Amino acid sequence: MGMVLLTLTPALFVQSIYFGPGLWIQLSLALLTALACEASALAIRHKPLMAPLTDCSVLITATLLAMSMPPLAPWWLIVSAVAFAVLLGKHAFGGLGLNTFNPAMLGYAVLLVSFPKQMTTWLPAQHMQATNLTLSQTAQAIFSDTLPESLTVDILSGASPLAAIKSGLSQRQTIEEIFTQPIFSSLAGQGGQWVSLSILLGGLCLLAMKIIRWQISTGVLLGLGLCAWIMHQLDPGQHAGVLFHLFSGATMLCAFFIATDPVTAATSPRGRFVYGLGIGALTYIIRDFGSYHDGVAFAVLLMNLAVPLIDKFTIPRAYGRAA
Amino acid sequence: MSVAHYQGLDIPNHKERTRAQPISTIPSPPQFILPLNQHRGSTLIPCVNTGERVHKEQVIASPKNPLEANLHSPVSGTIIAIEPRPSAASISNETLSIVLANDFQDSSVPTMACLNWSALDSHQLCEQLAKGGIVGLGGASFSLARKLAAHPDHNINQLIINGVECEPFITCDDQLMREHAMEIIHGIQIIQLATKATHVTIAIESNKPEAIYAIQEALHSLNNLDIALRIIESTYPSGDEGQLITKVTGLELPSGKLPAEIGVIVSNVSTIYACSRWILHSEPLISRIVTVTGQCISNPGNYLVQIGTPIEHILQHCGATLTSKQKLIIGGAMMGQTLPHSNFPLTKAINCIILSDDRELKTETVEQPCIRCGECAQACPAQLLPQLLLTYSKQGNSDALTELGLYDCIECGNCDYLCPSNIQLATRFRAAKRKT
Repeated sequence: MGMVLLTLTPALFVQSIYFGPGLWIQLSLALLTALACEASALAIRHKPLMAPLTDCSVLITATLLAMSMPPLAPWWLIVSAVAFAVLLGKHAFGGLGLNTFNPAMLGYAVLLVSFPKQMTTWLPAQHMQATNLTLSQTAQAIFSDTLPESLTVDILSGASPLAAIKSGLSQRQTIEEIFTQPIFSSLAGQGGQWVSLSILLGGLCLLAMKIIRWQISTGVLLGLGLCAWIMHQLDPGQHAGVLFHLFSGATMLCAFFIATDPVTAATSPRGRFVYGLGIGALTYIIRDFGSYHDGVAFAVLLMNLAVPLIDKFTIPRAYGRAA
Repeated sequence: MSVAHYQGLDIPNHKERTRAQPISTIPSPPQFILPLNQHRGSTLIPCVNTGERVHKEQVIASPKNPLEANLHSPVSGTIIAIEPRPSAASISNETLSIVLANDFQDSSVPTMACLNWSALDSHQLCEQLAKGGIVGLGGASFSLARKLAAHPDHNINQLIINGVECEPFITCDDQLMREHAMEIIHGIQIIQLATKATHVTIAIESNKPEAIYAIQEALHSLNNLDIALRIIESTYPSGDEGQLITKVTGLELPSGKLPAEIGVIVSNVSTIYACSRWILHSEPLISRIVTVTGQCISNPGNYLVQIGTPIEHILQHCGATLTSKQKLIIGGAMMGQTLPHSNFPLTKAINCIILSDDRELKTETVEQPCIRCGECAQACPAQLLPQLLLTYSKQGNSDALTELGLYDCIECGNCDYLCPSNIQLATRFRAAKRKT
């Protein structure tokens, strides 16, 4: 599982280049909280400490959450998300291998429901800001919730491309008009598209090394892509295209690093493809018709719930057993 | 992935140590131990008493069913005990065994030879094979006569001679084919008569070019055009009975059925060789070829060993003694079992003895939790879901286990080999099968 972390590092660097050093602070907080929670949960449960702490699984949960947090989100947000993920999402279910829900997504969803404002205040890409925040200014923002004069609340809100589409459409703008806003680029959002591409690169490495298999990732991309294509064909003025959806929000992170968590996925290869398709389709439905900007967390959790059902209908035909 | 397209695993075969080692004989030990459960089926009944003198090749135990195989004395000597002893067939409890002191005279009375075997009908031929003590030597050790006579109503279309030997470390069949190809062909002709099979195929894995050449030459010199030679791609477990049937005939062996029910008989080359020795040379099954190998063996090789020889004696001859840090395995690294000590005798089923230390085998024994990665399901030749079987076997849910195909598990060990959490899946499934 260490390889999963390694293949995520290019994306971490790209994200910090575009969205500032806040990511590193969020990541440090997440990793420390994760290790502390994992160690104390193991101690309370009288389990050996070494193997679970060194298998990197809890670090992956922490990294995924840190990447999903707004860079300037207050410190208690990431700390409580990680604590919730590790303590209730993972250990309350019996620890590694026994949890029903993806811990990272559970932590994210709980915070998104509880603190919607703080969880959706994304920064615009750095080169579009009047002045870039230094590390100390960022730390100040995260730990004491004080913003420098140059950064107004106005710039902070509604900056993510998925959110921009949502608010643009509600103001009766067409997709074409919305895309003229400066936060959009050729594929998707400024910065965001490069983060997505670097995640895709890491994901392809995992595939090449056979650490993940193609079924879930292909399912997610196909499920989302197909829905986006159909809706875009029906009304291009109201629905963004396939490429925008594939390279926006957490699509790539979901397809290669979140949905591919084997513990909470369906069991058989065919089941995993169905599971991926479901996540992709639900993500699109939530993005397009729901009130949240991105739907990845809820889509993953809903499909986690559907796993026993998928498993029941996708048992492979065993050798020597007629269909 | 459809069953017919299952690719198998490319695993290190570890055969280099004993490949092309000529078959040599291990001298008789002073004492033999002959467990009475030599093959699957009923336990044998001893027909000698303690203190009795026996000749070499004399029948010392026989079955109730005339189609089960006799047990013969490997040497001449005295029966010193008939008592429970450790046997590899059931490691957890001891098995009634005949203990024989060797007098090193090798005195024998001529055994009845079947001079005119080709005049026998198939049932008589089967009874002859049982008298000669012939069982399947590929590992399963099912009585050959019972296999051949199990379904007299079924027409056997295809007789498959299994020379695949896909299990890592083992080279005894390879070497047998190189050295005794002609006798194997003669043996095939006997079995062909017993089964009335219309087609015969010898299947050999592609990594044994010398054996393939030897068989080709033998077929050529006999001008035998009836026997087909089929080269099987070397992946694991291509030599499994079901897998091989599918590869050769395209048929799938239905769950819970015997190959004869779909018109197929599969038999190992070493079994065929034993038939030939018995029917044509009146030598009953009192010895077999065993591959002795592994990092801790100074003289690895393919040895002709008498049945009943203590494994301790074999190890000594091959320049090794078992220490606490080593692992003693019989029957191959994938499907074999680990023995707790070397105080076991060689039975008809044991085709390989491995003595190795940590460097060569998958040694990590601390199980980590299952992360449901699914690698086991991808590698399962029976297309089962090992991770679900694991969950249910822990719960002891025998209905769910049967439903998910526990009994279709061929115990090949692919799931154990690939599991990143070092979970001993096949071992658990083997135990669960015995329990339910």
